[in-house]
Amino acid sequence: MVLLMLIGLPASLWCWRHLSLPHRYPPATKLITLTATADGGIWTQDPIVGYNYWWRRPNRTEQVILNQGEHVVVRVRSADLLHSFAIPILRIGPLDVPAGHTLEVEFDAKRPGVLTFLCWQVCSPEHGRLHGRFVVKGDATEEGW
Amino acid sequence: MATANQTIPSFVPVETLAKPWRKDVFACWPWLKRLVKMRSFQFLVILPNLFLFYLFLIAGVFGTPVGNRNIIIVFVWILWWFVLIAAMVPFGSRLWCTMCPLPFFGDWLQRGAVIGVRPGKSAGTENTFFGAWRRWPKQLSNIWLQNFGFLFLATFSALLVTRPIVSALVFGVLILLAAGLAVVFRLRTFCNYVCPISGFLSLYSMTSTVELRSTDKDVCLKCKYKSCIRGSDKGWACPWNVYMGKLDRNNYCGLCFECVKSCPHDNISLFLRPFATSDVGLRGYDEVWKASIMLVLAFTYSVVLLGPWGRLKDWANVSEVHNWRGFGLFAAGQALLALVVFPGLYYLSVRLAKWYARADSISTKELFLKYAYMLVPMGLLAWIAFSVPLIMVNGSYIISVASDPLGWGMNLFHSSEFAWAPLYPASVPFIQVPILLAGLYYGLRGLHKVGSGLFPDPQQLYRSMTPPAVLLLGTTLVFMKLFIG
Amino acid sequence: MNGTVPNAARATLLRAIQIEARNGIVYDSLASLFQGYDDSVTDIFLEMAAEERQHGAELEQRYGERFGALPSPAAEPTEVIEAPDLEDPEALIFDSMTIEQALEAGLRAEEAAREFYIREVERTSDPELQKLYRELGEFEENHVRRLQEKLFEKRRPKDSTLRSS
Repeated sequence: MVLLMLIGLPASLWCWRHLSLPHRYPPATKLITLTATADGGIWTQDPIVGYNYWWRRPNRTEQVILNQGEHVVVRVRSADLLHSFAIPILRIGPLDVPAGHTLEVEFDAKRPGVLTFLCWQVCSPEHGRLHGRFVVKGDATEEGW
Repeated sequence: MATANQTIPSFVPVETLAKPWRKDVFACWPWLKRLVKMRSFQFLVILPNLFLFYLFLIAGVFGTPVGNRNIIIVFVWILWWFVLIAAMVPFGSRLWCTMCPLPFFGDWLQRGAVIGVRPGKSAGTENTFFGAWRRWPKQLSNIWLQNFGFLFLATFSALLVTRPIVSALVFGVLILLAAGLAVVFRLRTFCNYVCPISGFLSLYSMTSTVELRSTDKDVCLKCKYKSCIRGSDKGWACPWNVYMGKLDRNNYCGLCFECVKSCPHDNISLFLRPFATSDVGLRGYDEVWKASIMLVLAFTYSVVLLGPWGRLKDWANVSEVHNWRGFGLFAAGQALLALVVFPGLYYLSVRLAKWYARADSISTKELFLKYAYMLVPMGLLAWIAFSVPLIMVNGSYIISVASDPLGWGMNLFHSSEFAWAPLYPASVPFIQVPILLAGLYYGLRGLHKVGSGLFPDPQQLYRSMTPPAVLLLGTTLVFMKLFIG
Repeated sequence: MNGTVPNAARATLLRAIQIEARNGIVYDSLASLFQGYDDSVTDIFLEMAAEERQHGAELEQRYGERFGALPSPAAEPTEVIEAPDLEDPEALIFDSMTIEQALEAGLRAEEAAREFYIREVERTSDPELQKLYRELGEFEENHVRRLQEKLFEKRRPKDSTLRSS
């Protein structure tokens, strides 16, 4: 029983994260997790969790490549402070992302182009660096955003 | 027990003038006795906590670093802490030790069994144990290690109770330590001498309303095999090394109920008794310092975690603010207060008591040990008063975290976005003050009870009580000033 | 009345034999408790266990001389006249047991037995029983004296020139 628990619990959590979670969304959904951290003003797709919080050197996410036509779900998280998330060109946000919370933003990458995302709320001295872009690749002849 | 040439005063339980009432719980509720006599009882109460503990460790390492969104912080330092200090200890003695998962793996390795008993002969017991079975060093056979361990952890309390990884690290180390010590040393060495939680549980369980004792001491006297402590084919040797035949205080009885199973005369029972009226003997300086440390920490925790002094919070929050000089001042100040200043004040009050009461027949050392009991109920109730705002202001996090224990964005019970909602925060001081006053009352009552055994003359008794009572009153006023301004 | 006196004396002697036997086992249990802690304490308790068994053997001999063969063991003795016990329930936790304390545990038990028999001498009016109680009292007095001597030996400084009285 104890061994079952020792193996079962982490297995269940892994299953939730990698099997159950993606299946909450329509097929072919592009699932992106973006975490904001005030230290360095970084949006990152790396997990910022307990064990790497103090030693984190997360990779800055400058851009995320999307394909035209993809349905995109962005799970926006904050590792430390109250941040805010917005994609102005899509009129998404600004949406508060309190520390430790997960916010979901959905949109369709209908046209090729560049969609800038940023933290809308002055959260820290590095606030100005909290931005990135979604680059939608597609038919170059089609009109962009 | 001490011989004339021992320098430390011997532990002598103080005889009470009037025995408080006792109610035999097993006699009233035989089903409870049948339950605790089941071999699987302890495993069944430990298993859920083991599961939760494992979840907490995973959450601490792989969950969100945000404290109020991580189950290890919210469930341990808000929920479990409050339930432990406000309910389990005063009403259940060391009930937490009954269900604590920390020694589980150590016991498993040592016993080679989770539920069953192995009869045999292992150095003094009637059971078969595995491991090196070494003797814990005599110099460390006290609670000094626990005193300093708890003080060390308390120095980092601002990190411990807010950073999931720190909590996970500490509990992970404790469980590994428990397992390691069980393989090397005999019985529950970890619980008796190392576990920081056990340290304060041992002290505050003295006030508890329950006790596990032998029903008829004469039966124990006549008992040939002392199975309670040596074990038998029905139960393991007492993991806490307690001899039930003469046990008269709760401090080191971990309520594992093995003795209830192993006693061949069915002579052990659980009793109800009034709060803070029975066990009144502190045994040694280690216990006196424990009382002082805990009382001072209730004060410093209140100042740092609940107080309005931002500078102190910054000093304690060294991992974010990086003010090492400030942290050093905070750590040194706390240690000085707990180890030197407050014990010094208490010692002074004892010296004054001896002088004022002209108590030449009683040594200062004896009075110092005996009167220190007054710090026990006072300390417990000060901790409860500190814990009240913890649960009332932060309790709502329990609801959101239950749905999203790791802060991964789960929503198990559809309450992950339950907003923080403090529960009647304005009423907190009105709850804290009566608790503090209750601490003062029970402290003075304990002082009177101990003093009555030492001074038959009422005038001498009240004179001897005056200086320590003044100290107790002063402590209460300091806490009240802190809590209500 | 004379017909009941031998019975009372026989029962008393039998009880004393059973108590010595029980105490031998108790001392064995106490000895094993301190295994791995303090071997000298274990040795003291083992010595006392051996002495109790020897006392029991001596009493059995007296029983045999007066009343014949020893009957098969009856119910466990219910008296706690001479029952060695630990005074400190936390002695193993604090590893605080010393040889002196082990000897004191035995001394308390033997003194309690001696006092019991002295009281019984004063309580009973029957001369046969009084004679028996006096014998048992002297028996215990010897045990008390021996333990006091051992205790004195342990407490005496090594280079002392004092002699035991």
